[in-house]
Amino acid sequence: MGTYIVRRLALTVPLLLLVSVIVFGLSQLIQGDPAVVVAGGQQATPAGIERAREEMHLDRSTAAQYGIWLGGAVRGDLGESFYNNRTVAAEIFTRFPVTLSVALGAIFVTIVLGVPMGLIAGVRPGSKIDRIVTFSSSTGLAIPDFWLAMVLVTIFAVNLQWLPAIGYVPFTESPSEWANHLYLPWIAMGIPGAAGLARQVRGALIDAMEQDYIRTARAKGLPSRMVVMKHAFKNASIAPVTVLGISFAYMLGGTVILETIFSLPGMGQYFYTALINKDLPVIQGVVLLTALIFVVLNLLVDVLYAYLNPKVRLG
Amino acid sequence: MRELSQGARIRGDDMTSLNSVASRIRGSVAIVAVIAVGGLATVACGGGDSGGTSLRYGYDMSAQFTNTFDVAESKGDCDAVPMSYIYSSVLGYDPISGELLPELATEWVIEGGAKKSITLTLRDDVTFHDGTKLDAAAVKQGIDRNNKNDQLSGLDPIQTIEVVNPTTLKIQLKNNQAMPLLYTLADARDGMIMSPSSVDTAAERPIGSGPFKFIEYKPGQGITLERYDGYWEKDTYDFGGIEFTQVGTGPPALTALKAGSVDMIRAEMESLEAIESDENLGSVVQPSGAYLQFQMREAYKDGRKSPFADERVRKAMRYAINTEEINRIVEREKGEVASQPLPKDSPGYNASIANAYPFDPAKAKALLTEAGLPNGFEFTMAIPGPGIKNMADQGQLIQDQLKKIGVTAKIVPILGQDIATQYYIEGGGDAFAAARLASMFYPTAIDSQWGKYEFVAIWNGAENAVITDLMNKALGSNDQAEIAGFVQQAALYTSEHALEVPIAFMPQIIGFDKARVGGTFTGQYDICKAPDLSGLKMK
Repeated sequence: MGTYIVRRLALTVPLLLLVSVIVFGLSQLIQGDPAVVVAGGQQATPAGIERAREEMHLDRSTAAQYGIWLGGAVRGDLGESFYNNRTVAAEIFTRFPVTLSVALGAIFVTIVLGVPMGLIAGVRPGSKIDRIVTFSSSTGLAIPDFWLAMVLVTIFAVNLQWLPAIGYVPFTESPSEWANHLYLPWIAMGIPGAAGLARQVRGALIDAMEQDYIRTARAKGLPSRMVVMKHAFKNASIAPVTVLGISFAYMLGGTVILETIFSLPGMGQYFYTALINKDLPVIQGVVLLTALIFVVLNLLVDVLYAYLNPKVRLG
Repeated sequence: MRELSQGARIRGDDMTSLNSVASRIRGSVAIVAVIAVGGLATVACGGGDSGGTSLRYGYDMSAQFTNTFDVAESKGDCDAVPMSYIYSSVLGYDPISGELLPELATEWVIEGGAKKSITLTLRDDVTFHDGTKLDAAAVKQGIDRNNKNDQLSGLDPIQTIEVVNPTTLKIQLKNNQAMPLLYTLADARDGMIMSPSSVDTAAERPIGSGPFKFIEYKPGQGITLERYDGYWEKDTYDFGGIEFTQVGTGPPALTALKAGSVDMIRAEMESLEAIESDENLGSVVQPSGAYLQFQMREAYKDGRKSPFADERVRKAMRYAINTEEINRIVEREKGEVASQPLPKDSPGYNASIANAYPFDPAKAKALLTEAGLPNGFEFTMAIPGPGIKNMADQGQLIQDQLKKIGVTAKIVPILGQDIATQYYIEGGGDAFAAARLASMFYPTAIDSQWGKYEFVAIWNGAENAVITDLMNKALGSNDQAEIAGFVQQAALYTSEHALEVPIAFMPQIIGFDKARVGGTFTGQYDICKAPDLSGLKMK
């Protein structure tokens, strides 16, 4: 197992390097001259534009700019935003906990709703409860999270005024207020995830329940609970684990629309503002971080695979 | 749940055990449901906001605040909104009449000819929030420091600042344009004065002498200000503080207001109907100097002429564009139909040209024929966007209106941050249908568009000798009546030569929660100007 992990870790280095080239290369394709904007837009003077260009290293070759950026990124220095007077690393440090809070809660909702629904449906395919779960999960998948967010805000914040419509309170400041501000984003983000997960679990469980080892387990006289939970579900969880891993990485990347709706100062809001402003250091930094998150979570998923299915690590 | 056991028909030999599994799963779901309901119940009991006497002002800081309270580092005009409550400025002004008002300086005297000087007399009863007394040395230090910001080019004409005595400053200029400098010192950021003790910390912990003192800033979340009881204009503000709260522009702001999460927002025009139809909400519609405009390029930097180089074609545009229709649809008739770059209340407004170009497509067609374009022509019209509703609506209406005289406008949206580069510098269009921001000192509304060496004029090929001469006279004059006369002449010239199609002045809208906010207050004169909250009362 240790060798497997080391081998997978070694593979991530060239992958991240490739990602860095793509991230930097794509950002070079963005139209417009940020030096003009930084120098004051319509008030910019030619001298001011030149000064801004030098400060931003835009007067250097693309390769030199990439070298400067990559050198900084390796040391954790992702540069400074063109517009907001803060380093990208500091801003990510402030904003990442917000997105992490949202993602953890949402993935919790996804799991606690999705897994039992998938199990209930999977152990009795074709039953009435299966049809209800299948219909519910299809509906959940079809509902866009931002629409669900708006409905939840309208009901629970505007009409009932039970929950705040916007804002974020750090956990360290007040755990209860932290949760109060996040219930709606958790549900809005977690329900579509749960719908997808339920379908995955159901499908995988139905397949697993038809395998020979399940018949053998039954023949041995194991109780059904053990057959389902220990033998069938463990083997059926490989595909759902992949889905969960990708969902969690996606959530950690920041969900732009949800963070805007709930005015959450997370990565999505930061990235959205940077895109509008063509704030290259921020775009590069956030995309690189997101790629890193995907790589790390994929690695974890692979390790989990290897745990769930020893054939993977042997291969 | 009952259906599960009734419907369990597979693997009959395991019926009991499977029911046991299902029962456990059902139990888990039930526990989650109980936790969720319990959570909501807790929230329902404790989720309310006590509010207090602070005003919770919903503001899109992520888009309109550049994370610094130091004027020297500020990178955005809209930073001025929260800063305006923390810092006092050297001077104030009435945005409608354009009149300069005393603030930290109570008197200003202009002297000299080709190179003028301004002597400022300061109040002697002002203390900063840290207790430091304001004097001429602090004001000099503040202006010098603000002048380090490249974006604040209005301070460039300053040659030297001399401290005459603790309440007197003498500013020596490099040119004769003293009035523009005075207005610059009344402008949002340029004239804000910080405490000398906060020079190194102003970015994060600003200390000014304004009506509210800084308490806390949480990036992406909010700014907390508390009323400063030592404010030099005592009893102006009758509420305890301002909490700027992050809300996204548009629908998220409106939702936050309706939910009671904030007390006040700057609203978009498309939100006004929703505010007016909600009996719990109120609105303030403030006239503004910003205006919708169809701006025409006369020539490209490389010497190419645009179709609008011909004055007859420009006049055809003025007759063909139905400004009243655009005001009705885009501004919901809340705007003021424009005939020139300045609104009716401005001293520079020229009443003689108010009806110079009535909507007349036939006349527009005749002018095109006269210009040798009987079948019209095609051109590229840049608009800010995509995704900016009022700009898209305006562009669409202009496109439709011009089509009726045979002119085809191809719409090209350009992101706000790229307008300077893509439209002006790179020549990305023959015309630009957008909104022109309000000018602090009203002559600059004209000078900045057609004056020599002005950015827009340079790249539009629109530097105009007559306008430049009139504006030099206006900007060099110390006499308000004389300035107004020159500006009116310039406005007449812009109309006679159809240098632009002014469409409608855009109101700024504030929405507020009637249960929390009362009193009288004004909205923002421009998107980056703070509303005057001095008459506001919290309930």
